[in-house]
Amino acid sequence: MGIALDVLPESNAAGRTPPGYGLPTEPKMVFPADGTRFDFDAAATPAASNERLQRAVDNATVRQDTGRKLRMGELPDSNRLRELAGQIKQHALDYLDYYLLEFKAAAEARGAKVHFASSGEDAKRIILEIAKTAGVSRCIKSKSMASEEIELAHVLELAGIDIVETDLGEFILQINNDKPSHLVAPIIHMDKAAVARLFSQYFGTPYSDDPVMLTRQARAYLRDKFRSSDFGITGGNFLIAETGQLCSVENEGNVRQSTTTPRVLVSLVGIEKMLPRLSDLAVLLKLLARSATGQPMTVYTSIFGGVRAAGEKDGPEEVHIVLLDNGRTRILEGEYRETLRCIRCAACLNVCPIYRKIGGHAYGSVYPGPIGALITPLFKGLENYPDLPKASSLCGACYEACPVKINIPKHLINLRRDMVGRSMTGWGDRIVFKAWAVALRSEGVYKLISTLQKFELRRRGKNGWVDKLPKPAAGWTNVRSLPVPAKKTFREIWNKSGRNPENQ
Amino acid sequence: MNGPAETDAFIASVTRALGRTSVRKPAADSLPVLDEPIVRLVYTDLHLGKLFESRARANKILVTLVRPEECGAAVAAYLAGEGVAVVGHSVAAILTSLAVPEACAQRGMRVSAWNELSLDASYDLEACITEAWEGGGAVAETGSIVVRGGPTHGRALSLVPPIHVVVLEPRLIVADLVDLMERLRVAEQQPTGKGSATVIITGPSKTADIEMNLVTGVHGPGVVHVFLLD
Repeated sequence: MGIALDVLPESNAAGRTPPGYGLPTEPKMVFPADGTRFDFDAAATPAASNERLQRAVDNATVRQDTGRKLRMGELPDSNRLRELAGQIKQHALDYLDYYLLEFKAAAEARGAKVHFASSGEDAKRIILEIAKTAGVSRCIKSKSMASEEIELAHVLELAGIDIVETDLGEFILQINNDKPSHLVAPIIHMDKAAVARLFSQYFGTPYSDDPVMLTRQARAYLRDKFRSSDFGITGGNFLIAETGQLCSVENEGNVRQSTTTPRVLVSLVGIEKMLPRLSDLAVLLKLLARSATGQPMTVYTSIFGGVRAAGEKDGPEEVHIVLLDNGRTRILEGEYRETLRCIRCAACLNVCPIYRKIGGHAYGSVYPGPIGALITPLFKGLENYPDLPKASSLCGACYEACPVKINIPKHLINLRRDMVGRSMTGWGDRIVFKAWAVALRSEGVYKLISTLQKFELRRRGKNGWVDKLPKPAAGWTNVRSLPVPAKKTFREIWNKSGRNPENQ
Repeated sequence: MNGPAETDAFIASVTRALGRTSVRKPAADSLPVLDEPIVRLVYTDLHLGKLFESRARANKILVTLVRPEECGAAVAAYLAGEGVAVVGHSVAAILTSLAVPEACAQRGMRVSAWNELSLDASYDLEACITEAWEGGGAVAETGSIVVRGGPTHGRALSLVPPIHVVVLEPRLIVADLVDLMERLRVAEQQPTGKGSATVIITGPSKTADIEMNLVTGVHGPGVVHVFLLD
């Protein structure tokens, strides 16, 4: 393409004023730019003590998780269905090059144009060029995690395109200059009072925190946008190799709007969304909505692709499918390939004790929760997100919930192993663990250390509890107390009892 | 980046990541088998019409059983009761043969066929009446309706009005998603099959984005009413 890289508008996330949506100008949330280090403590510590945030997050995650369990129980054998879904996704990944070519040929037979974008920058350049060439400027955009990943809307906005997010949650984020904090419920961190204040300010209308009123207001505003749009952007939940179609699921109807009214349609989809056959949808669709929101199916499942057929009066005349790599082939290469099975249902977020405590923004990326702790370091570099693999209790609830059976805890442990291999752990950690290894190898040293430790804990104990310890154990005792060790160890009692067969 | 050279380079990078030197076609037996007992609707003591009816109702789709000769009057009475004055309809044979548009016109509604309406005008409709997809119009397992753009109606008709009335012939109900996908695959192979959007509709348009409060009628119809011919 003849368009130069410098056509991409300068990113000025801090203090920007998007045209037409000027409120508020201070970004509520900014994720670190590529290649910069994310300060997890600075984000997670205040979140962990934010009761309002936790109430909002708990309310939503508990409901979604309860719904998930209920709906999965309706299936004849949900465990084997999840196994099968994982196998289908894995198969598509194992032959991804073949299926990409099959998809491209089939989609082009429908009159669509397929573009391959190696990076986010590539994708943005391609999409800007499409908009310029087609002369479109009024864009309705539906929810797409890939577009959040590359901050597409922001770049199009700066290029002078009147772009509006049409999913209700995403629309609220856009006018609030905020970022999503959940894969399915993007404004999980906001309560209705916050939305009410925002709408009252944005639309200049009296304050109302009635969700029905607020939704009506957004509907009326967005309906005019749909009606006058000439440019639609969607994501896609699945790519169907055999027919060259996309499948997109939603509840509101805005994806359908994007594929109906505008003359030009661009769908931005990660390459890992591939499925070999239409019939694979029968497996994946049964799991996706159940895992996400506890619905048997979402309200709308659109299977689309290609330009309007002869005799059709609506639907796009020009269709572009932009397939995004942006780090995915790097993940495909190694032992973490399985993580690309993810269908972004957010079941792992909803069950995660850490996510429920700190919310999504504390993960410093558009992919939060257990799956985010795993793929964000893979996408953006372990050196930039060294704390995320540790932001897990490894309880395994995420693995149990995952509809495509990604072994998240195993991979998080492997990331921790990678950090040790790359000497990314602090020198303090290294000395402690070296000493620990020496102690464990020698019975004498081990006994000496445990005797010293017991002595020290008894010395500090009061009324049977140790309330305060020096660093590095201080963090632990700040929020809980430790019982004083018993006078005699179990081993001592056991030996004295005369019942230890080793002594007989 | 969309020329053949760029495509080749992109695919080559994927092939390399997979640890191979050339693109390999998967062996037919490497595709996971969709085991019937776990992916299909294997047992129900209801016939498909009844199963569809109960599951659709659970999805908040209104279902009215109606004898074919009474369908037109029933649809017209329902829409009149909702205060609807402007109706658009598809040009499906089933609607014509049951005289559904005429029944609405007799009630004094302004009735237009979809192909007489501009896209802009369809945004002013208060209700629409469509058939379900001829290839597989409803799914019993999920309680869903299936619509597909084509010669009888476009994509906007069933989307933008606040009320969507569907006249459903029981012969069009398929058992489960596996059946529906097979029907779709066959339709896609027809020379005229490509290009249209297929939508599986499983309830009224809704959102729970604001504090998990359920609100219906966001960007699509807030009411989906199926008249199932008895």
